Amino acid sequence: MTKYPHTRIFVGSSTTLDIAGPHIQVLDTSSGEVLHSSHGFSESDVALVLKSGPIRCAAVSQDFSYLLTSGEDKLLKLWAVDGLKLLSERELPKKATNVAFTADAQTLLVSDKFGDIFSYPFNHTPPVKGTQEKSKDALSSHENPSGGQLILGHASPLNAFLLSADEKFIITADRDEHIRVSWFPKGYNIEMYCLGHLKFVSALHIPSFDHSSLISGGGDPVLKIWNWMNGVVKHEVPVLEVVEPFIAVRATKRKRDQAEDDGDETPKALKGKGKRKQGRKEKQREVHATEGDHAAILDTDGKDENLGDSNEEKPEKVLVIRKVASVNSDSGAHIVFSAVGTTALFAFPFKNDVSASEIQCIDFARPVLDFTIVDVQSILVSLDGEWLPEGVEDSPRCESMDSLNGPMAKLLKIAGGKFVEDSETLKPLVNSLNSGSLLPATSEDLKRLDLYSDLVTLPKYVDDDTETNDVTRQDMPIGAPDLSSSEMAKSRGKGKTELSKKELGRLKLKQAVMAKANEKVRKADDSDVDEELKTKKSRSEASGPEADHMNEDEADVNMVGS
Amino acid sequence: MGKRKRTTAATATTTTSSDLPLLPQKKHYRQRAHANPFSDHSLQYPIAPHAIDWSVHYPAFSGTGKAPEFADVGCGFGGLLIALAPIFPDTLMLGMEIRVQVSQYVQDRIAALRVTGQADDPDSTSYQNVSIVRANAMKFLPNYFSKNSLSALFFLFPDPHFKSRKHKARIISPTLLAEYAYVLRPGGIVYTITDVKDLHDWMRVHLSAFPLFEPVDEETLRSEGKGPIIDAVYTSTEEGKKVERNGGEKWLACFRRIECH
Repeated sequence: MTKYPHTRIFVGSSTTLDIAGPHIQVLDTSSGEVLHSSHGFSESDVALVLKSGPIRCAAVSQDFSYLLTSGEDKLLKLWAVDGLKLLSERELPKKATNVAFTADAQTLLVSDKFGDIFSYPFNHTPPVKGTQEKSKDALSSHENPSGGQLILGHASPLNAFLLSADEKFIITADRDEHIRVSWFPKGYNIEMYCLGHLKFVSALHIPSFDHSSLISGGGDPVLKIWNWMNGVVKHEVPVLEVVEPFIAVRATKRKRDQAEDDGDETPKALKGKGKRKQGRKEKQREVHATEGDHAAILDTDGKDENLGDSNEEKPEKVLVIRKVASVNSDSGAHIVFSAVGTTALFAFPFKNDVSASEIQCIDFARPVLDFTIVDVQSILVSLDGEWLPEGVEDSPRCESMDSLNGPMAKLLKIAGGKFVEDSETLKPLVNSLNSGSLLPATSEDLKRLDLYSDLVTLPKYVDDDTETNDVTRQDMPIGAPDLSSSEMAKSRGKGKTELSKKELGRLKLKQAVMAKANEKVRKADDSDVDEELKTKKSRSEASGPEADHMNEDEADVNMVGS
Repeated sequence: MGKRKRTTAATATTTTSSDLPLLPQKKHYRQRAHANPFSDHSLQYPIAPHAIDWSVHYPAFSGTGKAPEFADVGCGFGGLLIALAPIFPDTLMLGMEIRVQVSQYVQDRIAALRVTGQADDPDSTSYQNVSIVRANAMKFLPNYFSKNSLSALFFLFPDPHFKSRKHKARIISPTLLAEYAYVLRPGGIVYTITDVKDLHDWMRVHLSAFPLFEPVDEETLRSEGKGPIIDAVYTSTEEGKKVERNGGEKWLACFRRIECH
């Protein structure tokens, strides 16, 4: 029988909270005994637990009295840890990406896929029926079914957020590379942006030994260490080369539909046709989206070829930093981090200018799902013990395979600057997490966990295009309109047959303007005027790519003409 | 929105006949009037404001260390920029437009105006202080402008997004206002104008409710010497002219960025 891995574990001094798929369990930290389990609820209550699907985000209050969870159904559930009682259930406007308590547990914070952060008071007064209509009036910008307070919002899914130690600031990170530092709770007041990431940001951490620093990671090959009050990067830690060999779960990315997102009319599309076309595009996008949801597949160790249908490319390794944390050791302060679908855990000493060779790692041969720091110096790692390194995802599972299953949890510490397994500390708890507390799950259940979806949903698939297909774009002024590339794409696509009237018209104008500009510069040169105009000339020459490209197109025009 | 498209086309034919031959013609840059601000466009954007070389956009100002002070969000065909350029020759202005074709039109228009501006005067820096980027301002405004760097932010005839489920795509929203307040310096002005009363009410309500903005009336702004800006806001844009031709009403609302408490 297959078991649910531990998707999140919170270890407190007396109780430990274990999230296993849709279930929550409360364990005794010293004995490992299961005190409460949602698996043991009455039939109707279990049904409610299962209805919410796998728990996607969870947080525990500082004193381990309360637990906050959200699954797949846009419900925020607040639990009392003692007795595992459901205290309240709130409807959220969007799917939650993260939840948190303030230190006093009086305020609950939720970030969502739309990019907003709402706060809710601890005590929930369910909205009276009828008042919900009010939320849809002409002036409301945000759905707010549970009367939360809108703290702030990005125009992109929020992947991570945290409060500063003094809770005066909230730091938020999104899929569009932004890290924003806002006042808390007055989130409308943005103190600073920490800009510099080139890919999505998925993990944030303020080291416990230095509250002025912020460590961020995501899809970029480095972790960045910021002074978050002024938005300046202090150091970068090159992690990719160390992490890459351990990325075991690969993402199958969808092929990008070129120019689809530009809302660009093809030159010859008539008005009516254009509309219909747009409709079709929308549909295509939906298909891609649903494919994308299930596209995280397991590494098949060389058996990749049967996976690619026309819409899918070869599975590739994608770096997604999942979590960063601080840990103490006999050799000083360290930063520990994990990446999605990666079989190892990583650590480096917290100091200036860490090189790749200083990053320690420990391989478990099973993807690391989560880790948590216990008593500032132990690290409890939860592993995907059901993951089969050689198998294909949908191969039938049989009893004999049980022996292949790895451990679900391990306890480590850092000693002498290296990871070491610690089989003494919390032994009963670790044993329980590896056997007694495991809950049965069917292979369907496990599939539904979709543990590695971040590998597919977080990256954007427009980067390749700019990198490989279009050299000229690199040379364009940053942010300048890059119509030339779409013109090029079109001419590529059509085998350079013909330019539309529209394109011809533009080219003629460009040539005329260029001619005029050259004439002007020539005149200026003749009369031998000041430096400034010369620089102007060299600039117009420096905008070469555009000019070159124009000549190229001009040649095409001539070809058509002849 | 078929209505908008048709009128844009009509504007194109009327203006082109009167324009100088060197100016781009709108019929060569036609594009549907809307873009989804939430999708991943294949956009290029700067990593951060300090990574931008503004001298590429404003060669005549290279070496001055100047950065844009006016930003026209959703600048469309660039009417406001063109109108303000000669009035504030020392102020750098940047238009932001998400539609490829339209932003290209504005770029070509500025390029043409820079060379045709004053042929008799080679030292002329006409239209050297305006430029345009193709950008999604809802997502990437802070990539272009650093904290408190702008003195004016324009939202002229923005997409009304009539359907209520589309309201979240409106360029004015409580969460986006935080970003506008961030890039504006205290005292800076947000100018909004629209011919859609519902949208006007929406913008006015949200801006008034936002703790870092306070409403400021037209007379006050005129008394501060911002009359030419307001005139341009009313009349210089293509949309503004269209509304005039159709005898529509224009709703102006302006707000001042105030210090936070």
